[in-house]
Amino acid sequence: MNTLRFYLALWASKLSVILINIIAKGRGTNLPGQVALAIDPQFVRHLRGIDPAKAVFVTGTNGKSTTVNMLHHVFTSSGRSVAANLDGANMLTGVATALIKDSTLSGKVRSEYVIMETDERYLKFIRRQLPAKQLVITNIQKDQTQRNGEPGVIFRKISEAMGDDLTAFVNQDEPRSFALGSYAGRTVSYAVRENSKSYHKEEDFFSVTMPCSRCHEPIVFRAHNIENVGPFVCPSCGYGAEKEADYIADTADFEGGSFTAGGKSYPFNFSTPYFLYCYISVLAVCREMGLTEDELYKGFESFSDLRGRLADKEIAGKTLHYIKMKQENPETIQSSLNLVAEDKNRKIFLFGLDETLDYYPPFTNTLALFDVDFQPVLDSGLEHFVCMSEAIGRAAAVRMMYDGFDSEHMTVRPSGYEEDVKAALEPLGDYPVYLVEEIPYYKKPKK
Amino acid sequence: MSSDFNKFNDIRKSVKDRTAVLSNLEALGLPEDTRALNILWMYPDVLNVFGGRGDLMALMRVCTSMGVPARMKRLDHLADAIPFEWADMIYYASGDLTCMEDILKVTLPVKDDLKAFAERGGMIAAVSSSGVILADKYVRADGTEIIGTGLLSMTMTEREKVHGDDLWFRTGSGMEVTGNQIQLLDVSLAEGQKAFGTVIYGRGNDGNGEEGARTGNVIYTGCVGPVLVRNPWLAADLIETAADAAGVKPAGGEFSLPDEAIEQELLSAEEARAFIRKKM
Repeated sequence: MNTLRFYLALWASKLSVILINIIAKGRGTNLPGQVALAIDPQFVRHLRGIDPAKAVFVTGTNGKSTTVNMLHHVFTSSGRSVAANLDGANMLTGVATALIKDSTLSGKVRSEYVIMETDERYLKFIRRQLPAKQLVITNIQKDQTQRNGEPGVIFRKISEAMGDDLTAFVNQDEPRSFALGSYAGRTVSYAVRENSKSYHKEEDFFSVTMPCSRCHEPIVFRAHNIENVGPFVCPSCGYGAEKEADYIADTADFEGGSFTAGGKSYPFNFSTPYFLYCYISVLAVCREMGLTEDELYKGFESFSDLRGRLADKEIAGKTLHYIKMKQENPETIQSSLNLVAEDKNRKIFLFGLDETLDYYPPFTNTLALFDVDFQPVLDSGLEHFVCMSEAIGRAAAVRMMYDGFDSEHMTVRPSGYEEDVKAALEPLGDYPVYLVEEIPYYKKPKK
Repeated sequence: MSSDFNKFNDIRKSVKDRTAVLSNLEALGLPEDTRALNILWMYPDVLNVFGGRGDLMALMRVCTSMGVPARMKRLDHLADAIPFEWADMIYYASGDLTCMEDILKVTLPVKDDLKAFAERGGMIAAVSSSGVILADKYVRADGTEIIGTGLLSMTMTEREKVHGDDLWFRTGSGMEVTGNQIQLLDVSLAEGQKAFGTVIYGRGNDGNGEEGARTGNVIYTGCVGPVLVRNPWLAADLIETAADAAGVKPAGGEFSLPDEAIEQELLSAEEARAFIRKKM
């Protein structure tokens, strides 16, 4: 009966893949999995041919998709076969869909390796059916409050999915990710050494850091390689790295496009330090799983992130520099603000915000605004601030005012659609323009 | 924006020492020995979710706009003794639930001091999950119970799923407050325990129309945003109550928060209400 149910689930889901390809090619990243799991709730468990030791899950707040895409690229460019959910469908249905597409009509997964992005909250449920033995944890930060609440919730959910059978690849520079290593049978750590883009935060009375994952006293960062990620220690209980990480990006040449690790230089096709953590975690996984330095080099050389976080566009006769952020994640907002602040010319700063909708109903989420500091942007020379949002544009203006920016140099527009961006820019002078937004105006669907 | 606030902002930016006492006396042109409202910011690095530090910024901003002399001090470490004799207001911003057990370990031994502080008119406020500190108890998802200080007769029970939405409520004194609610804990008030407000939109304590809890000067609300940034009139109310109890007078003699000092916040609140109305 179970076998019959499995085959029924497999063939029905494969049929749905065919139909989706006819009706809406490129869609259907979850539907086949939904079909299969509706018929056989243990569908993923019943698939054959998966070696858990060759299955890698990637979880965490930021960097999952890039890391999975990079791992997939390096593995496949070295001739290995990989089943992966590259489109970011990272719940059980998305994982199931990727495996359905990779499997034979008899339910055998063709690829030798399985590399999957996994949602932090659903990792436990996915591992129950597919007990991958390799887990990469990028970082655990504030994000998606409507789903996740607080970072501690995510920490707990990931820890519940871990066990002695697991090798955890943990970010030694991120306190929560590093702490999760103690829940795994084996830990491989990765880190990035201080580099030309690392920074030390100037403290003021309202500076805050984060609680130690062990004793809940304040953590101290000796430097930030990216926001809230860098060498750290808890002065109260001593929590922090007791030894060098197993894999370290020793040096980074952002202009020259390379980094070194273990005495070898590798290509690095990005200008922002955020991606160094993706590279070094991928390097750690690949080396631990038997790929050679040369295979890694070739993979890194030809890898480029298709989605990108930076772009230049022309609008209203001005060049607009776009920087992507995740609106609910203070660390990516702060990193974006720091990038804007690198330009010391007087500038126009466009900040695009939307209401939050992870679950219905949408809400006027203003929580991250006071987790970040706009001061670096103000200090770098700000001519005009434009906030674009119907739901929380005024709230953003209040935040800027708190950092001392004059309301006469602020404009609030009701949306971040093209006509509003144009209307905001037209009366302003000829200054460099920066747009920090999750989805930029030129990618937003028409109203 | 008021010039007093600009002056204060310049001073606070010049304070590069987290252990310093932040004061608005110079900005208000008052002598250093002026009796000021002493605000204690509890565990800033530990109780640090949902932009909670904004509440403390708002308290200083509103004090300055009202002409109320104020000093603020951080209590950074759980191991540090709470300076009850110094403080007039103790503020627990929203914090991660995972920290609460350790905070209660250091708070329960001084529970009587905390109660005495409240009984002599000291104000204690806690936001979101930090309400656990003031509650009778907190019941975890696995059923285990953590005993709180019991300053408010309420039980907080961990929810299976997070509730995230807007919250709009009216306080007992008729003040309207809008913000967000990221609720990990259902709140059940014991018989006789007064709520802080009545829900206009949102979930509040447990969907029964009540929001928060208040006994005298001890207040809990589940509203974040940060709540005092989005509702400076609520900050003004807390300040007036605490200052009155401490015998602190505003520079102008009367407690007043002029609309022109909070023009942006008034626009922001209207923006939020307009958004919420569409969901009602």
